[in-house]
This record gives sequence, structure tokens and C-alpha cells, in this order.
Amino acid sequence: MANFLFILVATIVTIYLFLFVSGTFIRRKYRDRAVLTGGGSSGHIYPAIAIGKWLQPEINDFIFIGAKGRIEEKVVPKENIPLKLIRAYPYSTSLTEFPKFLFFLMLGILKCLFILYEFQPKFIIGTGGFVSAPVVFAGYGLKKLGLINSKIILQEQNVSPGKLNLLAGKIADKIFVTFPQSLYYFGNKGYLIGYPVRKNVKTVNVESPQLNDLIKGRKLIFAFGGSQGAKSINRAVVDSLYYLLPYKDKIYIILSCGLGYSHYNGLQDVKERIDSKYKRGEIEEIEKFFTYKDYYYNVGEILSKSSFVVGRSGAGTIFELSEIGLPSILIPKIGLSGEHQVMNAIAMKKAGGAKIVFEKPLNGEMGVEGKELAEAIIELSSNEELLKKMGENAKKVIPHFDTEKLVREIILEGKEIKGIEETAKIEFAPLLSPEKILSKFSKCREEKKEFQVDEDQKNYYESLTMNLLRSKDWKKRNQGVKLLAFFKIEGAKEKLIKFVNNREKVNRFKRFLGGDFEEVGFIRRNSLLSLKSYDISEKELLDLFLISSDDPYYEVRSSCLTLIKEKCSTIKERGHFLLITKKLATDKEVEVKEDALSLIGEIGGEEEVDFLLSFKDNYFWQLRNSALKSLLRMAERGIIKDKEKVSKRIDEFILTSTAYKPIFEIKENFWKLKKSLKGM
Amino acid sequence: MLYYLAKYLMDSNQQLGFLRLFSYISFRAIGGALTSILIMFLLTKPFIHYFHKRKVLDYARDTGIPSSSDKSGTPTMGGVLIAISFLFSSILWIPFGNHFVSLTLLSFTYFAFLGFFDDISKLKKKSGEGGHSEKLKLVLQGLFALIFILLIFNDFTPFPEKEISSLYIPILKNPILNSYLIYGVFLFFYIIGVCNSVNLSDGLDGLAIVPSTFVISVLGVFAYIMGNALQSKYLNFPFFSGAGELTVLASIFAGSAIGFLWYNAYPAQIFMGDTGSLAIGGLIASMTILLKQEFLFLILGGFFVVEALTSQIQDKIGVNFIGRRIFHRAPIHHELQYKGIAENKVVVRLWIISGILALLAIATIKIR
Repeated sequence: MANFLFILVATIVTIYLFLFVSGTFIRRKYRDRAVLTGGGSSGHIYPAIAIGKWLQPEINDFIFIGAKGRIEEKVVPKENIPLKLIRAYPYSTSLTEFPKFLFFLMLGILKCLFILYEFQPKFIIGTGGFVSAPVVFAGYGLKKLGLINSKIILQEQNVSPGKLNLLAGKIADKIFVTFPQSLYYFGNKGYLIGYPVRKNVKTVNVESPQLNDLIKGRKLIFAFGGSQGAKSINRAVVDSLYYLLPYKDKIYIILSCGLGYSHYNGLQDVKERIDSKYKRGEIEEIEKFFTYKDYYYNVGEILSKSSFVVGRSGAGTIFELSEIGLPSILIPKIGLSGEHQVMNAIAMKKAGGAKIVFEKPLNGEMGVEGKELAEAIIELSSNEELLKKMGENAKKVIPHFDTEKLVREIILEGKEIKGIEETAKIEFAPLLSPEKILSKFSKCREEKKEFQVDEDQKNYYESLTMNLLRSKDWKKRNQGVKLLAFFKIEGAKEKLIKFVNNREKVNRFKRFLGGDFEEVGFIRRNSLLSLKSYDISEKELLDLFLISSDDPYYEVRSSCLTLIKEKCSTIKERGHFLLITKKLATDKEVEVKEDALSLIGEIGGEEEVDFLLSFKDNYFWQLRNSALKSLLRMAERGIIKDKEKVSKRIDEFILTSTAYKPIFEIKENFWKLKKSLKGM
Repeated sequence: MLYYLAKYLMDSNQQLGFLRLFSYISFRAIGGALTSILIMFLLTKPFIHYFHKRKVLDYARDTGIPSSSDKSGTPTMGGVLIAISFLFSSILWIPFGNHFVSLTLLSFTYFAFLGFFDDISKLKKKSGEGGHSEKLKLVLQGLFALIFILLIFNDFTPFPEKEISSLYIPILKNPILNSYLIYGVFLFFYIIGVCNSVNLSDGLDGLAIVPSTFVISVLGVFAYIMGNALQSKYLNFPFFSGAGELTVLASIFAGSAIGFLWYNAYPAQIFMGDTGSLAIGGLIASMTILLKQEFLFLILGGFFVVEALTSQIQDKIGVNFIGRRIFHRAPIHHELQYKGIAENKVVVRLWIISGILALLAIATIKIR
């Protein structure tokens, strides 16, 4: 045993020493090497290549580490950069996906260890996407072991980084950011450099006479959802045409609906949508001011002639809009890593360069209502001055530095140009996850303070809530239900009542373990609790009470009682309510009985006094306590007429109890003092 | 150490023959307990002051409204004191080189350190919620379980050759199983389970320390029997030479625990923290394994088993799978509080229950 351990340790030490020494030799020989990484979409690849090319001629030897089966396999070889592929998998918290992610991350790190050690780069430049994480982690590990000597540099295109990039940011040496808001996440490691893109990549404008003929002096609106197309944008634009018909002489809309490589075929979808939605006569009218194609290769030209744009809010789009100074209506995609599209859109709106339209669930899918989009389009196209101002503002959202010079100075010369002053001017509140926003709200409610969110954030949270409510995972629906207590969305009340009424059974296995309905106990309970923030009519209240008093889950029964207690001032016909409450006062759960008794104190009349007095010798002190409290409440309400008799009868109450609230004098005094000092 | 000192003095001077007392387990057990209790009394008060000064304080789990009955602001990491007095007293009173004792102390120390770092990271975050992430904690516990299993399966084992992988259950005389593979896998999960169950039970003032004292004291009785050739033969136990030293260890622990209870009783002046609860878990796990009483723990530590089961069922099946509470509250001590019983009453009742379980466990000595 001991021998074996000794041999093991000795081998490891020898191998390490060998690697260390030979690594040093490779490093001496090649001093101009850099690893570029980042991928999954072209938005990550081009910045990496741009930064790499800017470092020439000092750094000349590159490799690019990308993910297998992604777009980098096509793009990178065109740039004459050797490509190494690893397997990578997007980050996900779901139970089935997470192990896969973890496995591929480990595998990726392992492969990167070999690649990086062999290559001995001076710089590791990562531009996000799930590929760059394993490279950065491996680089960090090797660096700590002293086996490579490289600087790790990250670049974040979006306002808010995803989880992996945030984590990688902690171990990176320098982080380049595009938006000043991002500095909030990275502290003093962040460097504001703008968007790294090479000048020759920008499209050259060619005048084509057809386009001018088409527009004929009208306002050109370009709608696009990226090269792959976006279903919700395509459909929203088609739907909005109906409302835009009266404006057909003033506007012209071009829709780029997507190349359809992936599962979604935009062109076909748009065609079908138009055919099903409009009659023949209408289509003819529409064609006078609307045209669409799978992809326009003269994007640059169209953009330069557009009055404004309807689109997603990826970093690349925002950069282009900002470069040209083009106003926009942004429809951010919700649920991406770090909610970056929402954050980008909000940044653009805060700068005054865009309007945001959030997606909502429409017929079971997330989408935008045609009417809403049409209203936004009309508003923008009818206001020349606004458009001009928005165009000016759009230029400000990304600082237009000489990015190439900055990159060279920061990386090669080690200058500290951080652009911190820029952040001081911009107010910035990051978006919160549902858990965080809930805990913040509840805390404010407990302290009786108002918790304010600005309009954009409110819109986002509302959209998020709706998205959560239609999720298949009950935990997410539950979060949505809880959020409804704070965001009063149209139709929310009906939805909550529907949740409480749900009687769809869950599968047998869950029922065996104690489950009951699809809308699980927590959802039904929280729906009732959230309903406290809504105005409910007496009839709705009675219906709710009837169904939830029979609910198999005790917390539902008890929270319904608390709901009615809160709303009892609106009740006029108390007979029915009292009947059910009295039935619940004989429930098998103590908590329910307790709540029922306390409700009787609120709505009960003279006849209920005897009922409450009958709890005088109940085994549970909580029930005796609750009965006494209710009697007290009745006395306050002036219901008890024969005070002397009741006063005599409550002498019969058993007053022993198995619990008590301790009073620690010192803490009591401390809080009193604290309060009085605050009051002054 | 005292053992060797007495031996040396005895050899050098005929008149000091009374010092052979130090070779008796019973004498050393009592001496050890008194030493550790004394250390606790001497150390705890200044330590509580020190912890207050250094802000080694507990942060309440729910950040509700300030109330006079919450416990935030009580110093935590009292487990450090338990560990100090226990280890110091053990070094003083137990001869070196006994593998039963070294394995037990190794396990105790490892888990004490694990808990210590967890406590420290909780303090840094200033919240009661996560110290180390649960996963990291489990991995580190699993790592130790592997090391421990390797040690007892190899040269370091304190058992006679044929008993290494035998699995006993109470009441039956002979092992029900003798397979390295199955026994090893079983031990792996057993160690992790036991540590965490003690960790979960540490929820109310004085709740974890007394039942664990019962458990370890009863194990001390078992150790005495199994380390004694005559007794073990008479009572049909396997004979493990040297296991008797675990009695001394158990007794020393009881001393530290009672010393700790002095300050930890309701209302507590100090909590043991993860340092204490994980270390005690490690101690119980290793002692039951070394005495081949893994299944006895189901009875003897029934309280811990119920605590762990209720909390796991509530969390894994109830709250995270079927979407409702299965128990009103979990673990069991919170359920009792929910039923309207005051904290100190709950604690005493659970002490009584674990005392009864300890008696039942002792009864299995004769019934086999």
C-alpha cells in the first residue's frame, strides 16, 4: 500500500516536472501565439477573429477553438485560421440537460488542456458562447499549475453576460465590453472598447434603382429576425398589415423572413399566414406596400434607406443600428442566457433610440399581437421629428471608439483605459430572476414599502410572468402564480381562479406518492394567496370557497379562509360563507380549524358566540386561543350583546398551553431604542 | 500520554504500583470524561466572548421582521470547542497506535474540518443559506468515505482477517453477509447518510448534542464488550482486540458533550455549527462501522434516522416533485413545533425518545 502510494506520487511529480520544463522551452520558441475561441453563432465568431487580426503583426500564429457541428466550421477556415473542434453543449438547469452539459464541459476542458499546453499561447481570447467556457477554465487551470503563461481575455458583446461568461469573467484577466452597462458586472476588470468588428466586413452600399422605385417617397420599414428568421416577428408583421392598410400610401414594409436552414421555414410560414388571414382582394392591396423574401443580400442598402427597423435585439443588430443611427422597434427574445436581448433592448430604449414591444403568449406560443406592432409602427412613421431624434440617440448607445487602437493598446501595451467615467452617467438596474424579484417584493411588502420597477422592467416581468404561467414545469407555473400577486396582468384573475378550480388528475405514480391534480397543491395555494391583490366579486368568492373547502390539500383550505378573511368587508350575504366555515371548523387539520375560527370572528353574528364558546375545553390550545381571539374580535365589532353572560362563560376556558412566546428583555429594548432613534 | 507516563513511572519505581490504574479502561474512561468536561468549562466562556468580538455569529435562515425571539446573533462554531476538548483529552488518556481509535479520530477530525470550512464560508456570505454548495459537501464526504473504506479493507484494518467485510445485524449471532463489494458500497452510503442526518438534527437548542451522547455512550458499552475476550464470548459478540479503547473515547466525548450542553441548553449561548454536527456525525459513523453495528444505528440513532428521512422526503418528494407538503413541517422537530409545542418542550421530548431508543439498543446485547 505504502509502496504503491509512493510510486504514484513520484510518477506524478516526475510527469509534472517534465511538462513544466518542456513547456518553458516551447514558450521560449514561440512568443507570438494566441488562441481564439467563441462560437455557436456568427455573433461570437467575428469579434474573436477581429480582435485576433488586430493583434497582427505582433501576434501571428493563431488557432481557433470552436464547437463541433456549428457555424464556425464554415466561417473560420475562410479566414485562414486553423480550427480545432471540441464538443460543447449549452448550459441548462433542467434535470435531463444538465448532466449532458456537465459531461461535455468536462470532456471539453480535458481536450483543451492538451490543445493549450501543446500550443502555449500568449493570449487566450474568448468571446462567449458555450465553447469559450471550457477553454477559459482549462487555461486558468494550466496557468495556476504554471504549465502555460497566458493572459485570459474575454469579450462580452451584450449588456448582460450569461451564467458561464459571468463565471469565466471571475477568472479572466481582462474583459472587453461593448456597452458601458456591462462594467457593472465585471467591476474593475472591465474595459469599455465598443464593438470589435473589422472595417472591411461592413457592407458596401450599392445603389439599385428598383428599391427607389418601390418606395416612391414612402417611409421604408425593414423587418428582420436575423438570417434564420424569427417566427414571432414574421407573424406579427403579417398580422399588423391589416391595421396598416389605411397607411398604404405613407409606408412600405420589407420583411426578411429567414433562410430556413433550421426547423423553422420562415418563407413558407409567411406565405401560409398571408393566405389564411387575408382575402384575395386584401392581398392585392397589401402587396402594394409590402414585400418579403427569405433573405436580402443587399441588407446594407436597405438599412441605409430605411426610416426605421423592426427586429430582434442581439448585440450585432444593436451595433449596426447604432452605427447607422437608425430608430427601431425591438422585439427581444425572452429566456436567453442572461436575458441579454432584453437588456440590450432596454439599453437602447434608455438611450432614446428604440421602442420595445414584448412578446406575450398568443394561442399557446410566444408572439406579438399585430395590433400592438401596428400601433407602434404608426406612431413612429407619423412623427418625423421623433424619428430624427431617435436616430441621433441610437448612435449614443454604443461608444464609437477606435476599437482597434484600444484593443492593441490594452492587450499589447498593457494600458489601463477603462472608460469608467462612461458608467457614472448611466443609471442601470440589472434584471432579476423570478426568485430574486419575488423575494424582493415580499420583503418590501412585509416592511410596507413600495417596490418600484421602471416601465420597461415592468413590461419585461409581465411578459416573463406570462411565459412562466404557460410552462409545462409546475415549479415555473408556481413562480408565475406568485408573481401575479405583484403584476396585475389582464385576465390574471380568471387564470388564477382557473388554477384553483383545476381537477385534472396527475399520473398514477405521483398520486401514489401523495400528489393530486396537475395544478399542484402549491399552485392552488399560491393562486389563492395571489388573489388577495385583486378585486373579487362576492359570487366569485363563494365559488372559490365552495371548491377549495373540499380541496384535498390542507394548505389550500386554510389559505382560502385567509383570503376570505381579507375580503370579508365586501361580503353582504354571510349565511353561505358561515355554513362552509363552520364545516371547516371541524376539519381534521388544526391549521384549517384555527383559520376557520378566526374567520368566524370576522363574519359571525350573535348565533356563532355559542359555537365559539364550545371550544373552551378543546385539546389543542391553538383552537382555544383562536376561539378567544374571535370572541374578542366580535366584542370589538359590537356583536356580543349579553356581555355579562359571555364573560362568565369564558371563565370555563382551559388556559394551559404547550407553547409560549419568549420575551428577551434585552432584545426588546434594543429594537425599541433602534426604532426611537430612527424616528428622530 | 498519561498511559505511557504511568507505565514509565511504574517501571522505574516499585512504589508507584498503584499507577497501574491507568491501564484499566474504566479508570481512563472516567478520567478522560472529567478532563474533557473541565476543558469545556474552562474554554467555552472566553471563546463565546471571542466569537462575539470576531462576529462569528449565526445568521437566521429567514430574513423576516426583527423579533425578540429569533436567534440570529448567537455565536456559532461551538463545534471547534468540542473538537479541541475531545481531541486533547483523547491524546492524554488513550495509548497511541490503536487502529480503532486512530480511524475514529481521523474521521472525527476530517469532518470537523469539513464543517469548519463550511461554517467559515457561511460567515463570509453572511447568510444562513448555503455555505459550501450542497454538492461540494457531498463530494468531500464521499471522498472521505472512500478513504475510510480503503483503510479498513487494507493493512490498516483493526479487524481480524475474516471479519473485515462481515455485516452483522442486531439479534443474530452470525454475520448475514461477507462480501467486500457489497459491504464497501453499503459503507459508502452509510457514512454519507449518518453524517448528514446529524447535521440535519442540529436545529434547536440542545437537540443534537444529547441524543448523540446517548448514541455514543451506548456504543461505548458495545465497545467494552467486544474488546473483552470473556464478555464477548459470553454474549456471543465477535472479539476485536483493542476495541475497548473506544469506550474511553466514547466517555471522553460524553464529557465534552455535557460540557457543551452547559452552554448550549435553551436559550443557547452558543451553537455547535456544522463543525460540531458533521464531526459528531463522522464520529458516530466510524464507531458504528468499527464495532460492526451499522444496523443497530437504525434503532439506536432512530431519532437521527427519522430526522433525515422526514426532511429528505419532504424536500425531494414533496416540495420538489409532487408540489405539496407531505409533512406539515420538516424535519420532525419543526413538525412538533408546528403542532403548538414550545421549543424547549420539543427538545426534552425528543431527548426522552432517543433515551428510550438507546435503552432498546442496549437490550439487543442480551437478545441474540
